[in-house]
Formats: sequence, C-alpha cells, structure tokens
Amino acid sequence: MLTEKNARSELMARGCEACHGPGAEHVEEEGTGGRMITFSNASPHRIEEGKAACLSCHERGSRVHWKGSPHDSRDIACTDCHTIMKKVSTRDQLSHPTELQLCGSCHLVRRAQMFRNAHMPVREGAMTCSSCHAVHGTVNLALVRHDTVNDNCYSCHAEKRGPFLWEHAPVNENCLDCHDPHGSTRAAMLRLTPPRLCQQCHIETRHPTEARLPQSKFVIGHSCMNCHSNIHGSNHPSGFGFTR
Amino acid sequence: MERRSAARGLALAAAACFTALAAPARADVLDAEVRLGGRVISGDTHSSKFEEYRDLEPGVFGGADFLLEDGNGVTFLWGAFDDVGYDDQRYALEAGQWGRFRLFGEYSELPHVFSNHARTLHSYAGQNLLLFPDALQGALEAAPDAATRSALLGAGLADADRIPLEYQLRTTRVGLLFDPREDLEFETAYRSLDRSGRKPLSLGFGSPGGTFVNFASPVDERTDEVTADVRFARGPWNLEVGYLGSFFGNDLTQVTVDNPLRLTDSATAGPAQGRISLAPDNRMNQFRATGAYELPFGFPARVATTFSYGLREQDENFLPHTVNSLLAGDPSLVLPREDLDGKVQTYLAHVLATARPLPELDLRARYRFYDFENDTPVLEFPGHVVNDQTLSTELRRNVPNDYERQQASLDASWRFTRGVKLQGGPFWDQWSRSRDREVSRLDEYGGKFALDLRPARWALVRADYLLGIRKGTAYQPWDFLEATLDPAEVDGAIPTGQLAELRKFDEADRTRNEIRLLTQLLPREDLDLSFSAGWAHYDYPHSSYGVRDDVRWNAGTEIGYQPLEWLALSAWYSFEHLSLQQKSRWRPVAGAATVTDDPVNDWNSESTDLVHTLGVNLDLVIVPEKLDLSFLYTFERGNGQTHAEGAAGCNGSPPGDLCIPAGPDADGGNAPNFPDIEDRLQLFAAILRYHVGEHLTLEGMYAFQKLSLQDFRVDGLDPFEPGSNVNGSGVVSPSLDVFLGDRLGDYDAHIFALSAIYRF
Repeated sequence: MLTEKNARSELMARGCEACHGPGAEHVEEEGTGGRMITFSNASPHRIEEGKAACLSCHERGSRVHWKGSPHDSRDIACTDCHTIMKKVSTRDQLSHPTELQLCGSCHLVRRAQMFRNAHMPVREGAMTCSSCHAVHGTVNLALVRHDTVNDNCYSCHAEKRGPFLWEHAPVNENCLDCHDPHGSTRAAMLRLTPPRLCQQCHIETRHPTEARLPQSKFVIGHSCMNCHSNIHGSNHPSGFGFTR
Repeated sequence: MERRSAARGLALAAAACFTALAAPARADVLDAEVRLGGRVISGDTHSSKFEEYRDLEPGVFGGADFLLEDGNGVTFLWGAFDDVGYDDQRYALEAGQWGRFRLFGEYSELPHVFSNHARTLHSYAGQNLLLFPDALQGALEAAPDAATRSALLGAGLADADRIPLEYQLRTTRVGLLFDPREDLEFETAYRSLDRSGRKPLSLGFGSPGGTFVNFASPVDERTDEVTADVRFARGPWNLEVGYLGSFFGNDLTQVTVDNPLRLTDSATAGPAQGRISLAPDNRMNQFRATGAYELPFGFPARVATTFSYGLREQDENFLPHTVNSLLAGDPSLVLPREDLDGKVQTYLAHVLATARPLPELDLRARYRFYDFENDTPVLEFPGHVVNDQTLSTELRRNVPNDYERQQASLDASWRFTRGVKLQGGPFWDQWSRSRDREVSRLDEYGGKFALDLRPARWALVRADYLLGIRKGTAYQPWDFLEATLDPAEVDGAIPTGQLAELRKFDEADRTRNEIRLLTQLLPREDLDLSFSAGWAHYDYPHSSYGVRDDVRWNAGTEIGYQPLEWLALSAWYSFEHLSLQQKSRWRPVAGAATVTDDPVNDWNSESTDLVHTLGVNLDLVIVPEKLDLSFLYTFERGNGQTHAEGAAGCNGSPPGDLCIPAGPDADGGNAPNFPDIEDRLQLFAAILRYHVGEHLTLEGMYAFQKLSLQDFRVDGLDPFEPGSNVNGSGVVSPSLDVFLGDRLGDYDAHIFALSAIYRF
C-alpha cells in the first residue's frame, strides 16, 4: 500500500490519487461527482488514461519498448493483465493465478501446446511464458526477449551457440526451422518426424534420399541423428557431416 | 532419480524454521504460508515421461512462502520454497526496500529424464571413456561374416545393463536492483546453469550410413551469465545501457566409445574406438544501448532506438582427426592450427517511431537490422577420416556462413468510433546470406491488416490478416560445394550433391496467407466466453522438390461461468491441424558416382498433426469459509501422421531393386506410410480443502495422471534390433548397430496427498 511513509516521489505520496487522479470533488459530492481515473472494463477511458497512469511510474525497464509494441497497438490495457487491488497471483500482480493461464486466455492454442507430449517444462512450473517473451515490448518479432530467437534459446542452451568449425547453416539462423518450442507431438519438439524433417532440405544421393520403411535403422531410435548426432554443429576436424 | 530422504527431511525442517523465524518480532506485518504434507502414489510410473521434468515421489513434501514487511511498508523480506528436498526443489529469497532496492537470490533444480529403459553393454572407465566387453569385441572382430557378427552382437546385447538417461539442471541466480533516484535504476544479476548426468548420443562407424552405436554420453556443463543494466527515465527521455556476458564451459571436450565390432584398430576395416567431440567452451559478450525520446510536436510522438553489439568466441583446442592409431599419423591429417579461433560479431539496430497526429490516428514505423557477421577463419583440411575408419585426402574447408536481416514495416490505425479500429500497413523482410547458401538474397513484401471491434463494453472481436510474398535471387544449388571443396573437385561432386531442383524451405520463394480471429464476450458478470481461430497457408510455388505446401489451422474456445457465489466453472477446448507436403527423389548410386536420377523414383510425403486439448475446472464452496472442493481435468490427444507414396515405375539401381514391390510395377522411392504417433494425456485432480480456522487449512488431494504414448521409433526398442538394417524393398541385412533401447513408455498414476497449510 502506498503511503507517505514509503513513497519515493511526490506522486506516490498521494496514495490513491497517484493512480486515480484528484479525488476532492469526488469526495465532496459523496462519490457522485468528479471524474476519477478508473480501470474497470466499464470505464470508457480505461485504456489510454489507465496506461498513462501506470506508465507515469513504470516506464523504465521492459516498458521502454511498450509504446508501439504489439500489445500496446492492439489497445491491451495494463489492467487487462494486472490487477492492483487484490492478490490473484503470487508475483507481479497478475490478473490470473499463473502466467500460463493469463497468456492462455487470449493465446488459447499456445496454452494447449504446453500439454503436448514433447514440451518445455512450462506446465511443470519450471518455465513461464515470460522466460522467453517480454510481453511489454522488445526489439524482436513475437516479443521474443533477446535480440534473436536463437539468442533466446542460447540463454539456456549455450552449448549450441558455437561458433563451430562445421556449422549447420540453418541452425545459426533460426532454431524454429526444426523445433516448435511451444510443444509438439513429435519427440524433441521437432516439427516433423525424422527423417522427414531432414529430407525437407537434403536430397543428396544415397541413403538420405530413400523414404525408408518405418522399421529401418534410419528411422527408429534417433533416426538421422543415429549417426549425425552433432547436428547443431561440430568442432571435430573430421566432423563436417556432424558425425563426430 | 537420486533419493535423498534424510536430506529432504532436514531441508523441510530448515525451511519451516526459517519461515517461523521470519515471524514478526515487532509490529511488523507477516503474510506467510507453510505447507507440509505426505503423499502416496500407486500405479505404473516407470515411464520417463512421468518424471520428465519433476520429482514426484511418495513421501513427505512441503514448502513455504512468506512476505515480511515492517510496519510502515518500507522494507520487506520475501521468500518461497517449493518441493523442498526433492530433485525439483526451488528456493527464492528477496529483501529490500520497496521502490529503493531489492536483493534477490534463487536456487532451483530440475531433472530432465530421457528414458528409464535404456540399456547398454558399454561401461564407463573414467568420465568419458566407454568400454565394450573385450571378449565380445574380439569375437565380433574374428567372426567370418556379417550374419555371424550380427548373431553374436544380438546375443551379447541381450545382457545389456540398465543405465539412467537423465541429467540434473541446477540453477543459481543472485542479483541486485537499486533505484538511487526516482529516475535512475541499476540492475545486475549473476546466473549459473549447471548440468550433469547423461544424455543419449550416437557415433557412426563404418561407411556413411554404416553401423552406429547409441550410447549414454556424459554431461558436465556449466553456463555462467552476468547482466548489468542502467536505466534512466526523466521527462521525454528514456535511456538504457546494458551488458550481457554468457560463458559456457564444458568439462568434457570429447567422448571416446569402443566400437563393438573391433578390438583392434584397422586402417581399412574400422577402428577399435570412435571419438566424438562435445560442445566446445564458448563465450559471448553483448552490449546494448536503448534511447527513447518524446518528440516535441504538438501531438504525442516518440522515437525509440536500440543498438546492440555482440561478440561470440570459441577457441577450444581441436581434437586429432581420429582415434584410430593406424590412421592418426597420416601426414594429410596434420591440423592447420590448434584451435578454430572462432569469432562471430552481431550487430542489431532497431528504430521504432510512433505518433498520434490525430486522436483517431496512430502511426508506427519500424526498422530492424541484424547482422550475423561470422569472422571465423576459413581453414583448409587436406585430409580427414570418415567415422574413424576411412582416410580421405579430399580437401575440405569450413564454411563460416553469415547473414544479414533487415525488416521494416509501416502501419497506421484509425479509430472510426470508440468501438471500431482498423489497422494496416506494408512490411518488408530481407535476408542476405553469404555465398555458401543457395540464395544470396531473399525479399518478402507484404501487408498486415487488423480490425478491432468493440461493439459493446462486453464484447471484443479481433481479426488479423497477413499476406507475404517472398522471392529470392537465383537458386544456386552448388554454392556450398564450391565453398567447402577444392575447386578441382566440385564438378565431380555435383552429380552426387543436392538435387538441382530442390528448394530449401527457408530459402524458397513463398506466398503466405495468415488469418487470425479472437472473440471475447462478457455478456454477464458471471459469464465470459472466448473463441479463437487461425488459418495459415504457406505455399512454395517454385519448389518442385522440398517443402511444397504447408497449411495450419486451429480453433479454440473457453468459457468461464460463475452462476452462484459458491460455484465456478471454466472449460476450454482447442484443436490444431498441421499439414505439410514435401517431395523428394530416391537417388541411388552405383559404384563411385553413377547416379540413377530418374523422376520415376520420386516420392511425396505428407506430415499431418491433429491435436485436441480440453480442460475443465470446477470450484465449489460447500461450506462458506470452511469447506471447498475443486476439480481439474485436462485431456490432450495428439496424432502425428507421416504418409508417403511414390511414383509408379521405380527405377532403382539395378532397375527394380529397392522398389516396392520390386519389378516393373514398383512404387518409386520406397515410400510407405509410417505408423501414426499418438499420445493421450489425462490429468485429473480433486482437491478438498477444510479451513480449520483462520490460520490452518487441511487439504486432501486425489490426482489421476495417465499418458498413453505410441511412437513407433522407440516403442519396443531394444539395444539390438535385428530387422532394422532393411532397404526399401524389404530386404533385411544382418544388423550390426547398437541402440540404447531408450523407450519412453506409458504411465498411469493415482496420487493421494494430505497436507496442512498454516498461514501466519
């Protein structure tokens, strides 16, 4: 609760008025007069006035990219995701108990993907949407937190960052070429079942080009990665085929 | 999973004591909760999927969280402990002064279990040397033919021992957030990620596509990350500078694994061991500056720019070309230098300008430039060794590919009325890639349009449409060969290189259409409804081979209903359909380079995913402030299909070979359907809470969790798979490969838990 004792600015010291604006007229007319800033769905001004009220204190940090961000440009109000007057979540004053529930209220398919067989540990609570996305705005598409999708992935999977002696070119460009980090029916969150995944781009001769029977050693186990196991890049002098 | 019951009990006691000690000594305010309980689990929980990312064991469990504030609400101490003593335990502590500074620290553990069924005959001799029984190696080497070797290998692998295939991730994070002034903020943090355990890895032996060994590779890695940021905001200015350092260290640079088929090295028949490199140590330093300024126009306008520079380096010493003692000394295998001295510099520039010249009009312009400049030196390797077996004097150069990406967009939105807003504008996305890639420049032009309707305060409709048309410069299928091979060898390599008509999907011409719809309705205080749908079509009009068509659509709905004070219901459902079509060609080679390159060997494949997900929650207050009951149920069913068919008249080499069925009526490309991959997940929980008093709640829970999984690639997989060395026409050759048998498996678990929750 904001009070004069814990306020660190003149605005904060105003208590309720810090967010709701001047309330003298409202009080004098016993709740019927004046126009205070309100944040409920019923308020006709809630989006712009509400955002301005919040940003008057919270413009730093990740909010520096808020203006013009995808959520801002679609008129998402701060109070669509945050609630101030009651405690719903343990952290960040979210309007839902968890981030997955909050983000999933609009991104229904993304929430559903978390329940797929191959998934990140989001439903187990070890990751949240904001582990990868900065929802207030970023310099990247899809509100990805880091400079690129790959930088995002490397923040936990730095072993795949390289640079390697032998690079697998698409790996440097976009992890999403092969993986769906929101969840997949295919192992390792792959977009397709190998060898089909690899055969999208490899029609060299010999063994890579055969469609293969399902019991084939080129399909079962780790499929192409039964041999090409360093598929993200190799630092072995003889590893140009990612086999070493 | 490591069992640490004693440690768990001690940790629980310590957590409870710590929380109790945090109790207010003066007129402070404490909001705290301590949870302590026990659970029993019955059912089949041996599947690795059950504890893939968690440690869910019978026994005592507990946790706590608290917030302690001084009477004035100025200083605070916050803490949260979860799954104390378990392998997925988490601890977090924060202390500080609201709005002034915050010290924070976290420690968490997370298991990642790959399989509980893996078996191997390899044993560890030291951390990164895996030995196969000498007697069996010797017998396999001495065996007269492949059939005898296969029989020996199969008999030997029948005695393979179980090996855990999992690693543990330990994360530590500490930091400080400090606001010395209202307009200034510092934040610095340190994080370490420590992984140790074993994960599946593989090593090929023999000729490419020959024999291989799956093994449990040791994992002993650590990433240290440091961040420091300074943020300033005053008046129209908003400035930030930041640093990110990430340092990856791997205690293991390689793993050496016995070749089951040979006890001794041979210069022609294969090595006694193979050696594979593990991820090299690497480091990244990144600096970033962001500035935003409210422009002094007569209307709201702002420009925000970000520049970032990153440097990635890697100079791990090279391993020798081979562990095969009979080849290692060949003069062609002298390394050109002792390490790569790999270096990548990244540059990012981002500019976003926003303006509202009229109350109804919003304008946005965005430009983003990202340069991945790979300064890694090009090294020439005059020789190499294929799979530690075959010496080749074909020159190879590494190809440090790099790229630039530029993106720009303009969009404007107009509020026709308070409830109708239309938004749209063009965008451009360009990739410029180094010449080793097939397409040096790829441009996508398109437009995005969005309509937001708020016909009433209780209704919202959002619709989006995107059209993008991507075209590239001429597709050069041989550019990679020219970059990596000696020029004199390129012409010879082209016939066995990529099919010239292939268009890789990330470089191919493409037309994409995407539509999204979201509707949210709040017709009554006690009812909210959502509906979402999406459709996307990625068409590759000039791709005769490779990915040709990709269609995705989805639909979802959610309802929340609270008709009575004591009853709340919510339910959601989502369906997703993904379908991708690709075309390829079976290209057999006879002899060294006589390629049968015939369209009758073409094959098509369609990969389809159909996924249903359903969730239901029901909350009942049976006796107000005394007794409540919750039910939660989630069901997911995923179906992954991989279908294929070939052109008629397969022309293998020799004709008719490797076709289905062999002969003139063959179905080209040896292209049957794969069995479907299916998973069905059910998560059910019923939770009864009895609030004994203001401070104490007793909670009883019953949960049922069930996963049924069919994945033909690992179902029933054993270390030895006698039928796996099969060609397209079904001819089975003796198998000489070693798998881990790393099946996944189903689980069904009944979990009963009783816990007490005490609130201070």
